[in-house]
Amino acid sequence: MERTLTRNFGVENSHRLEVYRRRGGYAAIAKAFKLEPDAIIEMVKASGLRGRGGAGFSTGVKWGFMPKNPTPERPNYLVVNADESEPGTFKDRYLMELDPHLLIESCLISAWAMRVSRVFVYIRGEYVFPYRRLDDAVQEAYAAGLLGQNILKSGFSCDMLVHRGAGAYICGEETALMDSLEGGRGNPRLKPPFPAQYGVYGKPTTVNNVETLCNVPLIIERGVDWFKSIGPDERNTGPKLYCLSGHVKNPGVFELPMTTTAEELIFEHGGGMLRHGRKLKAFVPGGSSVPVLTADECVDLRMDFDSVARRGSMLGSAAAYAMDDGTDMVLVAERTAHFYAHESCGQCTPCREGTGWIEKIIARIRRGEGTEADLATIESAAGNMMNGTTICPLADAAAMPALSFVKKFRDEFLHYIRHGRSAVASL
Amino acid sequence: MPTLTIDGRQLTVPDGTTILQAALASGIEIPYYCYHPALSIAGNCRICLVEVEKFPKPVIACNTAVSEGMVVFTQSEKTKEWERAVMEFLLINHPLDCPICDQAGECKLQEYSFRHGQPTTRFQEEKSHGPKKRDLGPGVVYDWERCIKCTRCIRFCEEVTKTGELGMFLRGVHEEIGTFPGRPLDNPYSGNVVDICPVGALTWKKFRFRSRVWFLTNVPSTCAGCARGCSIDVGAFRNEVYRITPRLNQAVNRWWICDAGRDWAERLNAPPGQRLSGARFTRQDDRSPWTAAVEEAAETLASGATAGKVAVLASPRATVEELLLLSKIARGPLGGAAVYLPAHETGADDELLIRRDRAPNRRGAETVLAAVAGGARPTAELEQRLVAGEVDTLLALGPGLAGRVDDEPPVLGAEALARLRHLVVLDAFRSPLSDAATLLLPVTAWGESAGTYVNFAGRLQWAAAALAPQANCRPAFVLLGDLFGLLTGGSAPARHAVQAALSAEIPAFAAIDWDALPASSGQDLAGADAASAAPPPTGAAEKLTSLGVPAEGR
Amino acid sequence: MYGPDFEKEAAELVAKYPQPRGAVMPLLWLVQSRVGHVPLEAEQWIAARLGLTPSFVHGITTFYTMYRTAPAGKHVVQVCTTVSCMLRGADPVLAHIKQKLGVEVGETTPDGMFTLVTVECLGSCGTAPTIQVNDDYFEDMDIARTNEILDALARGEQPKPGPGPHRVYVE
Repeated sequence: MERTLTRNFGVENSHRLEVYRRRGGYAAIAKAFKLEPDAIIEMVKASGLRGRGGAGFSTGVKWGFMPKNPTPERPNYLVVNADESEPGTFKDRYLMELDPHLLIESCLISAWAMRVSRVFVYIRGEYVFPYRRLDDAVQEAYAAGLLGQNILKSGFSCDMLVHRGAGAYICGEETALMDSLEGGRGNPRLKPPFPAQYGVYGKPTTVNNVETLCNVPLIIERGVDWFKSIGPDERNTGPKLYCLSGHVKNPGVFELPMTTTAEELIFEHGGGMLRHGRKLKAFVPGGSSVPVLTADECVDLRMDFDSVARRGSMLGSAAAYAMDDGTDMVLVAERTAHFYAHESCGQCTPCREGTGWIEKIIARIRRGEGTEADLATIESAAGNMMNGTTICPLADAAAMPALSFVKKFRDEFLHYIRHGRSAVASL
Repeated sequence: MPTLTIDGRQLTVPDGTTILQAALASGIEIPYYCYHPALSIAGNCRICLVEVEKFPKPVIACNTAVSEGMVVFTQSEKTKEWERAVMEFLLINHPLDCPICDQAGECKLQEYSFRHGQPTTRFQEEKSHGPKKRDLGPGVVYDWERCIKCTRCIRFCEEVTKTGELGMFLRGVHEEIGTFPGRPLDNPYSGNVVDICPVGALTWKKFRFRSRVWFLTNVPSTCAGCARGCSIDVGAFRNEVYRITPRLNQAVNRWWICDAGRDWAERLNAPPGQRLSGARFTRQDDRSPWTAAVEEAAETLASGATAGKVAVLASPRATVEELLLLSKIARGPLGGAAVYLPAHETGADDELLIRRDRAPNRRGAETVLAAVAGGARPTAELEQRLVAGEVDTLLALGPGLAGRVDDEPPVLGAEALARLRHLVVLDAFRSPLSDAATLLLPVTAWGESAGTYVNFAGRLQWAAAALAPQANCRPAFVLLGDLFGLLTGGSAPARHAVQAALSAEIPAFAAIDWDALPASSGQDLAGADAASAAPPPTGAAEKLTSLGVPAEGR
Repeated sequence: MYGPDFEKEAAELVAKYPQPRGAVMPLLWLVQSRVGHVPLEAEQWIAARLGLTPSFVHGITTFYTMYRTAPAGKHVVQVCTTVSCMLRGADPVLAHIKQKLGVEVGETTPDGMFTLVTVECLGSCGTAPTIQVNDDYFEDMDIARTNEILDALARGEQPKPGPGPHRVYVE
């Protein structure tokens, strides 16, 4: 398909304002200023754009929650979630490194639509190079009158600040992000209140993912119908960035429509299995927080939000990784469990204790000291961490993969339990 | 005013009340750790998860406002399952410290585990380990392994004392509570974090390992440390005060006491020589020394009165009942002798509880003395009259009625004291005044006999007898009653007669229901509004007070 | 206090936020960039500057994995060991670095040149295995490239960060 989101990838100096402009950039914002803010929100709603950060919530509907009449005492804020820490995800990084002005223009249009006067970009601390690229681009934009007061003489003013995180996956959760941005530990907050009523510094706030926002100029430029024409149906529209990694020959970021199937992604675009003679055994479609799929479950699987959900997993951040038949799935389960125990903020009981417990059990099974009862314990503990028992869904994100590994690769766990070692030759 | 149904019971509550508050106010138990009525909502322990009809997921009762028609089930299978789950998570890394933990017997982990948990464990791993004796400050010790990270202590220091010494460091399973190096937890209210800690993670160094709480007799009383008169529970064992903890009183101290009041036992357990024991007088004969002593005192005072050179020194640490008797002695048989009242002031009033007036009953003394004995006069005047030779006989209630006073300046200067021919002193702890006494009648100290105090804001409160006397002494009330009887030729009045006289003769006490005073939160004197002088409500209590919902919960 | 213009730069950072408290993370970064870690005195200074308590600031510093509370080596070698990097060979790379530098995870070489830590997903799974040395990503790591880069750093050079030499961004 024609590359639109990634149209500037591979172009020399694509990150510079003059190159971005030369290639058609900042035309969408000029067009947007001629439209009413509410009209733009309706366009985004109609386009069917869904959040690309992991939750898949309708972007236009989320924008509609923002107050229509902000005041200087109670302004509207837009927060760009560039915390991208879901294992397997690396698309926002390239958007910011290679096309930071696309993000800036996206924010401008979004700010105009939501009557936002201040945009905060929260970028994870490890992304130093993307941060420098983005911050330089912001300076360029200010110098060119594209940020600040009276942008493009439209009368609209908007400020943008890039804020660096410092190493915490939990800050990708929107209320934890706000807590961190305000100057804090990155602890998720109780909801209600919701960000659109009470967000950063108590002001109405929308938090959007980088990739989600980058679709907005395309919708303005090329129209709602064009956007809807990409994808399998009305609920899964627009171009999608897929991250592919793991045991494939060509890992990377691919811009594809959501009609793409898992097999196309892995075998065509990804070049098939990395290691000679190996076959696909397992596939995670959307980041480590989603249930793993077996190779059989990848047959005839369209990689859109609803199809993946029907198959028992989630598209999430479209961070896909493939595992071949030489992979020790229990090791994968342990490494995954370790991630969540490391990243739990520690506030609430089920997550703080449960993530550590699951990691300890799997580690003990891998040491050859496990019993079958341990599998039931994992299932029970994981079940107790889900569906509202915690403040935020990090606990669910830890529980779901653990449950799926135990369910779908039970025989590998049993092999460890009965024989004290892995059923497969390790990597 | 929404109406909700909780376990089949209908309750109508003010707007903004949460499910948990509605339940607590109606005596329905929903377990909780991190919620405290005086603190902001944290919502992190998750033990209060309940099932609400038509809600797809569990909600935390502490942060869910009641809406019209809400139906809550605290005893459903789902709610119980969530409670079991949270209890299990809390206990998997919790150390098996019950046999040595101070909190045993008043531990919410024990209580809820018994009521809401499960009898066996399936945790097979090595429990997480960490520091078990971290010094947070001069008074408080932290045990990381026992801590359930509810953050009550951190919120207390941020929101009530506003000193912010405690912080949460690190993340996830490694989270720990600590202080910044060089800034220990040493505010004057640090001990309250030990009370509000639901488990044994925070312990008070002076009580640590000293006793099982179920051996302590808990007597509700009133602190005598300053004019605030905080409501307390006195925990005594083997006739010794082992610990003092706050008692909820929304009109006086809310949930808190200061560390000095908490450690009041130190002022009672004085080294030898500090506690006055055994009457000291001149005449030796075959009668019981106490009878002889009191008779000699009466004769001495009577002759002083005849000569017109007698005066009375009261104490703002004496009880209202004792002061009424003293006043009547002064007015009647001592011929209208002037009554003097010393001041015991240190430092300044702070913004929470501590008053610079370090006596519990100054307002009570002034009220009684004004009505019955012509008012309280400053001791400087007494000193002048002594030096001028106008007074040579003094009946004194000493400064040591509530505990040792060896760190306080004397109430009367040495030069003035030297002018006295007859000095009759009733006191419990030694001072220059008691040293100079020509006739010494040791009395019971605070905690050994009962009586009432009026705090600075006009609240009348009961101080109980929690101990048998620790010395050879008599209650001041009894001795003063005996003196009154001897001097007037009548009999010593009983306590209820003294209370009746207070109500009949002094308008401020007219409406007092004396029988209801013990173990209560006290009663305002007429015209007083003590609650307006209580520390401002914080946390949930702030909203609750305006809603008129009683701020239940500990 | 921490080099020239520290207070001026700090003031500029504070001015960017609607409330001063928002500047706590950038100030911690500023201190770490000047000192190499965040000393306790810096936390006190930041607390006073922003109207916070030192224990609150310390809580922030210790929550995030990238702020260091103690000095580290000249090059902090952060090896990603999360699933995607593990699948493509991060574990042997880590083992090799341990052996080559003679340290365990969390330790610093005696000459103070290298500190070795493991980190979670760096967002570089397409060019895994990836390590981060101070601010720079070094991607497409294998034993040979590891030797190349560590040796270059030991010699005082600045090897080119980013993906391996065979990599193009887009086909």
